[in-house]
Amino acid sequence: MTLLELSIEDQYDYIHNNIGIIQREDIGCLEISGNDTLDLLNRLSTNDLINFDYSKGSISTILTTNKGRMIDILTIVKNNSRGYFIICSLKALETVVEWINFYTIIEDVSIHDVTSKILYMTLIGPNSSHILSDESDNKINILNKIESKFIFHDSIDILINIDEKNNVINHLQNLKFDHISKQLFEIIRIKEAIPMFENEITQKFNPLEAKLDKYISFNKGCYIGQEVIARLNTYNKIKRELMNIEWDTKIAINQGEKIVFKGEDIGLITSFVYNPMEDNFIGLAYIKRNFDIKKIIAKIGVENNIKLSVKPLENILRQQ
Amino acid sequence: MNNHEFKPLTISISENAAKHVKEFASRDGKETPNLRVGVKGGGCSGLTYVLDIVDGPGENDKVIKDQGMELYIDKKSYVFLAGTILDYSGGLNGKGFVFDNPNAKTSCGCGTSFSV
Repeated sequence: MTLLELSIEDQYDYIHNNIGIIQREDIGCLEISGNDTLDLLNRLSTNDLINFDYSKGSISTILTTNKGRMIDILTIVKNNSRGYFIICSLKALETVVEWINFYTIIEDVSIHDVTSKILYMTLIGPNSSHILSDESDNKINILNKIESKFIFHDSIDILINIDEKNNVINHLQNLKFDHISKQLFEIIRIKEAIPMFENEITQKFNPLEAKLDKYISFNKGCYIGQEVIARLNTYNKIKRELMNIEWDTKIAINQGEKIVFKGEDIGLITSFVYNPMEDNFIGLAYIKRNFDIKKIIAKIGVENNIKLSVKPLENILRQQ
Repeated sequence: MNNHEFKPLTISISENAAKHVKEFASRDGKETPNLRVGVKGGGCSGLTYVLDIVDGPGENDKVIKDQGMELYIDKKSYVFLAGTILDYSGGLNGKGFVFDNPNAKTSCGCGTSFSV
């Protein structure tokens, strides 16, 4: 019996002692090269891409509009054959390419979609970030290892050539790694408040609201949206922020549903999933800042009297 | 019938700005004060102005003669700059070279970047 045939609870138990793997079909990959690559990306996004040591791994940065709103999170990693890979959301890939091409004016930069040529996997479980030792690396050809966005679960992402897929999966299964379900991955993503494109990452929200301060350099100089983001940060003007929410009862709601408390709109639900481990629903929502009531009776969409727990994210864990 | 004279959008440089370009070129030991004018992605608002004193035009540059000097503009930058007047704001509170760009919908606080 494979792990995928077991319950979510059993899968979750498994990754406490073993390593689970998931093929990330939600990820897109671009190959970018040219002498001005890092200079251009540095001018278009939030993090300091110039002074990062790419031999040490990957760096994430946020592509923002001139109003400081999020287009997508990009992870930049060296492509040993040439240039760099940009890892982004598959659904955002076309927008990302158009955005970069629009701002490529006099620069020596070329960009290609290589999503169909790569396989992106997340490994999650104890010591997963170190378990692919040099010995393993010699048996399988990994294009690059990418720092995981998870904080509370040991995890690493790997990028491999699609031609190596069977070889890599066989190798990982020999190491007793097994596939976990998308539902479990979504539960972990929501618990860890990892923003996802079209849910938490849209052009309605800025990186500070999404608690993505760790992907912003506040002293690197200008980039598109910098003036707005710097002002929001300096004057502490963020009015809402991403928070975890929980409720017990099954209700008919949709993504984007408003949370109403005492007649006032206090938030917007961006993601939710049933969590069988605790027999409740967990979600992410942008909620008015400094909202310090942890348990409320709220109206969500057309559903009244929902007992909702609101959990602000711990700032210290969101920063590098 | 429309009696308005048709003026193609071009890029021009004021007498004051040209004077300062010539001064900078002279300091760099350049005999001819040719100026590359362009834009690049970045800056708070999206696009940032670029000025550079150069020896001659690039292969596909548009060449504009004004105030006794040549301005070189690559074709993609020209789309964002057509109609722009390059001026110079001097003095203690001056900003240096200033772009009066009719395509700019918004500019950032320091005025060095714009959006279209």
